[in-house]
Amino acid sequence: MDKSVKVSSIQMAMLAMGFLFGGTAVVNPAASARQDAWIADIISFVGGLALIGAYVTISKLNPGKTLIDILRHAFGKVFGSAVAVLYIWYIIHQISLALRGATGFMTNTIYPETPDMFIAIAIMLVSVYMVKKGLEAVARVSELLVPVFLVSAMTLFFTLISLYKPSNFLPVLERGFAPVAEASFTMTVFPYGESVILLMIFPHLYKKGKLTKSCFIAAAFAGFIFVMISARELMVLGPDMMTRAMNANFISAKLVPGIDIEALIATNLMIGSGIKICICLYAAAYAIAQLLGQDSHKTFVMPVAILGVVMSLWLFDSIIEKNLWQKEVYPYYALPFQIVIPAALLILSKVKKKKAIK
Amino acid sequence: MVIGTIVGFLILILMDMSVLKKTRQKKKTLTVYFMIVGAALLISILLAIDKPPVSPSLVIESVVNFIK
Repeated sequence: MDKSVKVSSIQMAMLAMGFLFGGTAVVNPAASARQDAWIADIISFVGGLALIGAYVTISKLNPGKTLIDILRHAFGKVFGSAVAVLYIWYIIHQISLALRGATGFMTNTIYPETPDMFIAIAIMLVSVYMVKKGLEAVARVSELLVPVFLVSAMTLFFTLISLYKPSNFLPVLERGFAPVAEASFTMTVFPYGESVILLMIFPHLYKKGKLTKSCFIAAAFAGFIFVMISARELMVLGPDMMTRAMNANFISAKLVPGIDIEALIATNLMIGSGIKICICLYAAAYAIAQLLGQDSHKTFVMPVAILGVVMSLWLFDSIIEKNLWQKEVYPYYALPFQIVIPAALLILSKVKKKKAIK
Repeated sequence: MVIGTIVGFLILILMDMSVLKKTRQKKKTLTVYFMIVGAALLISILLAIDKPPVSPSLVIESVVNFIK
């Protein structure tokens, strides 16, 4: 591991927050629970905290080790490297999904005449530049931009107050608990479970003792913002519109009386997706470099970025198809990466630690 | 479109040359590097000529549906 790369606890919290916001800035995974979306947000927050807690524990049990090191340490060099290759695929897939979400939103709302490819390349070139400058550069940008995300989400929430209809929250649990449980599961996996990728950057935290605090603060802020977004969409658009609309967030922003504020949604998307893409790009490039026994991630930034762009254009014909896939298939596809393998890592790490103490 | 894609890839690789020159374990690194770029180029060309291979999303979907 490149020990010269150091990130402060605030920067780590901002990176984690930006990562959690990426993608969910436009699509609300809890929307399928209709007027109970806020309940799904709260339940998924609890599930998300448990997952993030598990990832932090894995990192603490393996100090100074990245996900790739931990996999090879726990499963052995051959099997561990094979699982690491699967994770590299998963991370590159995440890049293309985040990129597809961002380009789909842009072409559907702000740049309807621009081909997806140009927006994808533009986002990726900036990300490549940032990641090549190092993780510290990404961390500093997060430190600067994530507060903008928080402020613009708050601004949108308060500027719409005159249009709020609190009666849209009722009736609570009209269709029973099953849809809420399903939406909670989807939201626990996307975005909280994706934090498993952060295991690639956790060892770069300067004050190791503050990892738990940084991650839980990030999750708490993200959870709060998700509940706020669901409440806002629900009170402004109502459960029907919120569930059906592809970009409910954007539509609710368009309703702000007197001013055109919808660009803030695009800003949020660019901040969230940009940070998520940068972290995934760094994680994938660094993971490949580590597998090949190299210290620097820089060699593989460009190939991973190129593959990410190509895959984002290849995976889905339309953004509707992508959203549907992400809702119905993704939670099951992500289970091994987010729960099964990390659970095995947690158990094996604990056993190995106990053996080492004895 | 195909020629444009190939030229685009060449430009990106040329831009990356300075990084490639500095790497250790050149053989292994270059093999993996060009495998990834090659895969991306192949998919791009197939996309450009409107003959894309089966999307991984469809493959994942059928695996998930099979297991479910």
